This record gives sequence, structure tokens and C-alpha cells, in this order.
Amino acid sequence: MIDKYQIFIFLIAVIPVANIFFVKIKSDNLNLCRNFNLLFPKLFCFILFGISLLQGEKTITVEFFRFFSLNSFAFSITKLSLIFLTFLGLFWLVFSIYAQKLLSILVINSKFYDYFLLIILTLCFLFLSKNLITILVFYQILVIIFHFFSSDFLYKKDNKNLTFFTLLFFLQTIFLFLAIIITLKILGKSNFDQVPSLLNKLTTSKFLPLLFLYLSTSFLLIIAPFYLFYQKIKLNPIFIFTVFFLLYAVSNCYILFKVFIDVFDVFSFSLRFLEDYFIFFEGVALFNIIISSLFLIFSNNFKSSFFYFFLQQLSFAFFCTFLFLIYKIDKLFLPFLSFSISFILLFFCISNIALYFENNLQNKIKNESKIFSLNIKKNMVLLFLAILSIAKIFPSISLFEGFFILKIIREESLILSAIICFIGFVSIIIFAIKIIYLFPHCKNNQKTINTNLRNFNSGLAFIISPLLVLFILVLSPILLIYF
Amino acid sequence: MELVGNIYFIIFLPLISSLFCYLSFKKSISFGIVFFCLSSIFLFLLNISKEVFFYEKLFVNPVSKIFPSIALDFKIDIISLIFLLLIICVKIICLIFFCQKVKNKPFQKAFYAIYLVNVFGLVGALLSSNLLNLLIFLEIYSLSFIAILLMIKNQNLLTKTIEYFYRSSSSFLILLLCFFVFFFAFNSFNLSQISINSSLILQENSKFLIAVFILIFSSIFLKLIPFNIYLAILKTPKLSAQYLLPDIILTKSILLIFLAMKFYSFFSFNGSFFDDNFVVLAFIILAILFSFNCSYRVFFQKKAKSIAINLVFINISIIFLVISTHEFYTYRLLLFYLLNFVITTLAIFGLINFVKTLKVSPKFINILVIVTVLITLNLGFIANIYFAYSLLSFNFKSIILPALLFSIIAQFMANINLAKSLLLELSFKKIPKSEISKPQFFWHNLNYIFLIFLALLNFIFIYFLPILNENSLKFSAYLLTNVI
Repeated sequence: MIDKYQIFIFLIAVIPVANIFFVKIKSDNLNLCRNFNLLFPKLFCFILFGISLLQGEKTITVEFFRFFSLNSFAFSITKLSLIFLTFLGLFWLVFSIYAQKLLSILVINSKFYDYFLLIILTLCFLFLSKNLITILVFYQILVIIFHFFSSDFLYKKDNKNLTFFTLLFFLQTIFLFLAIIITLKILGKSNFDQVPSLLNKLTTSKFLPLLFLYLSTSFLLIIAPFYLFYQKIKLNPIFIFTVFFLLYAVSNCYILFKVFIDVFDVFSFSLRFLEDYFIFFEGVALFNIIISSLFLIFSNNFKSSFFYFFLQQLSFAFFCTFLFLIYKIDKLFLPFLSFSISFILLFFCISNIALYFENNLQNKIKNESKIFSLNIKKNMVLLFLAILSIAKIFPSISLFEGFFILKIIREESLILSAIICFIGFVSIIIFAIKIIYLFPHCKNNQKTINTNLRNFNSGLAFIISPLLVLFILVLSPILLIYF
Repeated sequence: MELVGNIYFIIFLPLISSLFCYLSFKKSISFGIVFFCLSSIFLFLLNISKEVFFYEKLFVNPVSKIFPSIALDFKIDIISLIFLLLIICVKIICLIFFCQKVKNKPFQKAFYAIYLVNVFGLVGALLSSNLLNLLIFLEIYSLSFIAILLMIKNQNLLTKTIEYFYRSSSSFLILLLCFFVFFFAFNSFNLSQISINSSLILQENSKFLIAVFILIFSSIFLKLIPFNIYLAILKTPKLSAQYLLPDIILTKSILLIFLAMKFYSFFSFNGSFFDDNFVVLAFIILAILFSFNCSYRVFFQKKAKSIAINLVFINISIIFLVISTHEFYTYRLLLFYLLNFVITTLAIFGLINFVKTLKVSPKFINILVIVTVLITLNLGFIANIYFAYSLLSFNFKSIILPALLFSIIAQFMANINLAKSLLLELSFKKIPKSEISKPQFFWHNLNYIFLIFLALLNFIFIYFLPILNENSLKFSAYLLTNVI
């Protein structure tokens, strides 16, 4: 029998499909299409709100079929999936409001929006999937869609980079595949609600390689899209890249948290394993941060310095999750969320400023700039906000994270982690100084802008960036309620 | 007795109906005869299937006492039943596909007659329980195959078919020699008699069987993988040849898998033949090399059809990897892989032919979605997980795992390249909307539905997993316990 809550799951999945379907049928009537595009995300958010009210404590599950008496193809709504779904819904709503203007201007036509809806559909299924095998299925679909997406927009004639890019993706899927099979071999099941966690079954010597496999996959998953940024690629409209980056990173974060909660069973993980070996993690994080900050200082190119900065902050976020795992398990999701939001904000701002400089050179885009009210002062303010949020200073959600980190360090008197935090803070200042040094320098020497900043060329990025500030303001009370 | 009659009916119906087909005075009747024959064979097989699954093995050998029993010596068991059902299904689907292309051609009657002879050879080869019988039916099959190829009337293909004729005849001679060796070793041509006598053979005399093993497999590969002919068919401009391709590839490869399974289970069953696991290790290495070769070749293909052919070979190589393990748990997956193989090849060739016939590029990136569904949500995906799962047992058999992973990556790349080439082809077909007439628009929409159905076929089969699961248990148990 179908429960009344289970209908909600179908509704969530149906809405993006309905959007694609209706828009394709009535493609001649532009006004109607616009209305459809505005209607469906609102519906999506409305249904999510209803679920969050109705759900309460219990988890809703729908099982489609079982195979080999071991596993099943099932969907469920949990607390974690609700958080990520709300993030997705808000993003979709915001994007649908602002993409209307942009899509009417740009020549890229509605093909981009098709891809966007497909990605949202698969992400919905990914967030709803109950076990690791369903996650693997939808992750593979996501990878394939991203491949076509990048081949259409990012690497239009660059086949060499594209093949490397796809190979990276497939490496990740293979890693994930192996990790899932090994966990299956150890646990015997992939539905984890009835099975004891990995830690009860294994000694630490057998447990470490599996942890390494999972962590390496997650690291690869997050680093791969950024590799694209780092290569010399002509990113004509940057908003495509930002959407790509954001959604892909969010999906990977979801997988990481799912694994931590379901496979390793967070509580026993922190109790049995991490407390003894935490110094090891601290050492690795310190090593990473020192090396990346050295690279940051000595790098001449702005793009490469941004890349090293990203790497450093990523390792810092990993370190913070481990710290929260042991000492503050209620706030486990905080570091990654704050990291992703603040970094995307930073990214948007920098790309906007790059666009501004290019605008001065090319008068063609001036019409666009009027519509988006592209202004250097506003952008600088936003950039300042982004750097503040990375540095975990008011007004941002990462303020809470910084507060808790400092509290933990003071209470437990962890010297190494204090050093790590200090180096991270100093490197943020260095990065900020580099940005301030760079832009006036660019104004004088216009040729260097082309070489350094052409790849930051942006379109919609500017539109999303104020929205992200809105995100930070809106999301922070919601997140606080969840945690 | 009723059951025996049914089996004889299945074997000899195509032969008799091919005669009728050739003698029919109207051209339009011939298609009806072929369709009736194939569908009746399919229904009879379904009728028998309950009893076969209950008894596992049924013999029909009224004259087996006569030395050397050549004619009318047949056997039906679970494996041959499943393979026959698959082959007949493929034949029916392909017939419906290319009946339009053969219509109103001068060679129509002859074509259908030879098509039925081809079916006769296939059915006989799958059901025979006698080595000489098997040889004769294989030869009938290959000769009818050559006859069908000659009907296409292409100069390049003609030379390739003559080459193939030499190859197949040489492999026939090698097989004949091997089967005589069998006769002198086990004192019989009958397969059931051989399986009884195989336990009596001495350890010292068994070493020459290694040579026989290698010879048999090499000759089977020579006969049933005509890669040059596939490539030659690709180059022919005629559409009828293009529609023949999935039929030829699928029947050939299913027969190949069947024969390989049969002989491999015979050689690896008895440990007394050779030293421990010698044959298993040798076959594993061969299968790994085959799979690496197939999946390596995919990366450099850019045209849709050549990619599709290479995908077929990757699928075959994965099936060979499964066969080489010789374990209960992995043999369960054979059924899944077989079904996946047949469905995906049919769907991919259907997709390619559909895109070639399209006159307007589609509105949406539907093909992309379809390809993604094809890749991920199929039986092969689930089977891959469980194959890898069973390989992680720290035996010497776990050396298969890298080959499996490499072939999975190759499949991914091939699928993506296929979709890309199709999209590229569609981008050239752009006609403004005002020029499209109404019937064209209707076809345009109908084709979408057909394509989506093809893509979802794999997904639909997942819902029958419990039934497949039960049958796969019996399948693997039968394969492991019975010699040939």
C-alpha cells in the first residue's frame, strides 16, 4: 500500500519532468513557457515545505524492487536529504527568476535550460536515494549529463581536454564502484538501517584502506570540476560554469555525508577511531596547508594562486569536518556548507570584476551590463563579504563555524589545530592583498588582463552573487533550526 | 511421446516451411510463411519450457544404439532452451525490421527460403546431442549465411565472403579432426555417452586433450567471429544490408557463447583431465586478453556503427570473463548478461537506423537521455556490481577484476561517443518547420515513442528480477553439475 507521505516523493520527482514536458510542448508560445518556468520551482519549494512540516521525526521510504535478496532500489526522505533538497529548490527558484532575462539576451538559447532541468531532476533522485547502489546509478547519470554539458558549452573544439576531463569523471565512478563493492563485501547489505556499521565488524588495520578509498573519491569528486577551471579554457559565459560547479559540488558533498552517516556510523567512528588518531589528521592538514600557502605566496599568475587558495581551503574544510566529528557532532554539516557557499560567492565576485574590466575593453557587452547593473563598487562590496565569510567573520553563516572551532580549541587545548587555523587566516589575508594589488595593476596594463583574467569572463555570475548573500541570510536560521 | 513430437516439430518445421516458401506462387505469402513458422516455434518452446525446467534434461534418441549414430539424436535442456528462445526472439524482431526493405525485390522468395534454412541450422546446432550432428548443422548454418551475404551483391563484400568461406571450411576440417579424437578417446560420438566415459580416461593419456582444447576453441573463434565481414557490411551503401547486421551479429555471437560454454564446461568439469585448474587459468588469461583487446579498440572509433560493433564485442568479452570463472555465484549472472547483451544491441542498432531515416532534427536532446538510460539503468549494471562483488575473494580468479573495470570504462566511453556521433549526424539535418508535411511530422512523433520504448526495455526487465533470479539459480546449478 502507498502511504500518503510516499506520494510526496513521487511529486518531487515529477515536477522537473513536468517542467521539461510542458515547455517542450508549448515551445512556440514564449510567454507561456516563461510562466511554466516560474511556476514549477515554486511548486517544488511548496511541496518541500509541506514535507518538512508533515515529516516530523520518522523517515519515509519507497522500495521499488529487490535483487539477489541483498539489495534494493529504494528512495527515502531523511533529514539530510531534506536539507539538500531545500538548497536545490531555492537555487532553482532563484535561477528561474533570473535566467529569463539572460536567456532572452544570450544566443545560447534554451538548450542550456534543458541541461539545467535534467541536472536538477537527477539531483532530486540522487538526494532521495536510500542506499549506495541507487546513489551510484544516479551519480553515473549525472556524470554523463555533465559530460555532454561540458562538450556543448565548455570545450567546444578542444577534444584533448575533454577526453581527459571525462576520464577523470570515470576514474571517480570506478573508485566509488570499488568502495561500494568492498563495503558490500564486508557488510553484506547496502541498506544500512538494519545492519551494524562497519566499525563493529572490522579492526582498524582493515578499516583504514577503505576510509582512504572513500576520502580519495570524495577529494577527486570535488577537485575534478576545479581542474576545468584551472586549465586554459575559454569560458565564454561563466554562469554555465558556476551552475555546473555548484550543483556538482553539492551532489558530491551529499555522497560524502551519506557515506559518513550510513557506512561509518558517525558516533562509533568518533569514539573508537578518531580520538586516538586525530594527531595524524592534524599533521596531514598542517602539511597540506603549509605547502599550499607557500605555493600561494610564490605564484605569479592570479589564476594559479586562486587554485592553490581553493586547495588550501578545501583541506581546511576537511580538517574542520574531522574536528566536528569528534568534538561537536551535532554541527557536522556546518563546515562544508559554509565552505561551498562562501567559495561560490567569492568565485562569482571575481568573475564579475573580470567581466567589468573586459567591458571597458569591449563596448559590445555594455548593453548587457545595463540590464544587470554591473557596478564595480557593488561587486567590491560583495567580494569583501565573501572574503569575510571565508575568514569566518560577521555577517555570514560561517561565523558559527568559526565560533565553535575556537571554542573546541580552547576547551581541549589543541595546539596543532590552533596553528592550522592561524596559518589559514594569514593566507586569507595574503590572498585578499593579492586581489587588491591585482586590480589596479590591471587597469594600467590592459594587455595583462587578457592573459590573466579572460578566463574569469562572466555573465550570469553577477546575478547569482547577490542571491547568494540572500541565501546566507535566509539559510542561516533554517540551518540553525535543523541542527 | 507428445514432447518428443514437439521437439521434432521444432527442428524440422523451418526446413519444410522453407520448401513451401520457395514453391509459393505469390510473393506476398512468403513473408507470412516465415513469420508463422518462427512464431509457432516460439510458442512450442514456451509450451515445452515448464517440463524442461522440471526435468532439466530431455533426450530424443530413437536410433542411438546404431553405430555411429548420426541422425535424429537430439537433446533439450535448460541452456539450449534459453538460447533458443533468445535466438528465435531476435530472428522475429529482425524479420519485422527488414521486411520492408526486401519487399518487391526479385530475390524476395529465395531470400526468405534461405532465411528459414539458416534458422534450421541454428535450431539443429543448439539441440543436437551428437558431435557429428553438431558439425553438420553448423555447416548448414554457415553455408546459408554465405548465401544471404551473396544476395546483397556488393563487390567488396563478395571477396570478403569468399575469404570467410575458406576460413569456415578450414575450421570445419579442424573440428572434424577433433571430434574423431573424441571418438577414439571416449568410444562414442554421443555426448551423454562421452560424459559417462570421461571418468574412465587415464591421467597419462589425457595430455593430448590440451591440444584438442586449444584446437576446438581456435576453430570456433575462426568460424563465428567474422570481423571483416561486419566491417564490409558497414561499408555497403544498401540499407537492406544495414538492417541485416544486428541479426547476423546477434545470432553468430549467441551461437559462439553457447558452444564456448558447452566445451569449456566439459573440459573444466573433470579435474582428472589435467592438473589442478590448468584449463581454468588458461581460459581466464585468454578471456582477459580478449576483453582488453576489445575495450582498447573502442577508444579510437568515431563512427556510430563501428562503435556499436565494438560494444557488442565488449559485451561478448564480459560474458567470456563470467564463463571463465567457473563458479556457482558468477554463473548466475550469465542469464542477466545475455539478456542485457541482446536488448542493448537491438536497441543500439535500432537507434542508429532510426537516426539515419530521420529527416528533421529533434527538438529536444532526447537521444542523450535515452543513451544515459541505456547505459545505467540496465541489467548489466546490476550484474557488474555482483560480478565484481564475487571476484573480491582473494583467489587467483580476482585477476579478472581490472579487466572488468577497464571494460566498464570502455563501455562508458563507447556509449558517450555513440551518442555524440548521433547528435552530430542530427545537427546536419535541419529543415525549417514550414517545409515539414503532416505525415512527416506524425512519423517524427511516433519514432520518439518507439525510441523511448526501446530504451526503457532494459529498465522494464529489471522488474522481472525475482523470476530471473529463480531461473538463474537452476541455470547455474545445471551448468556446474552436468558435463555437456
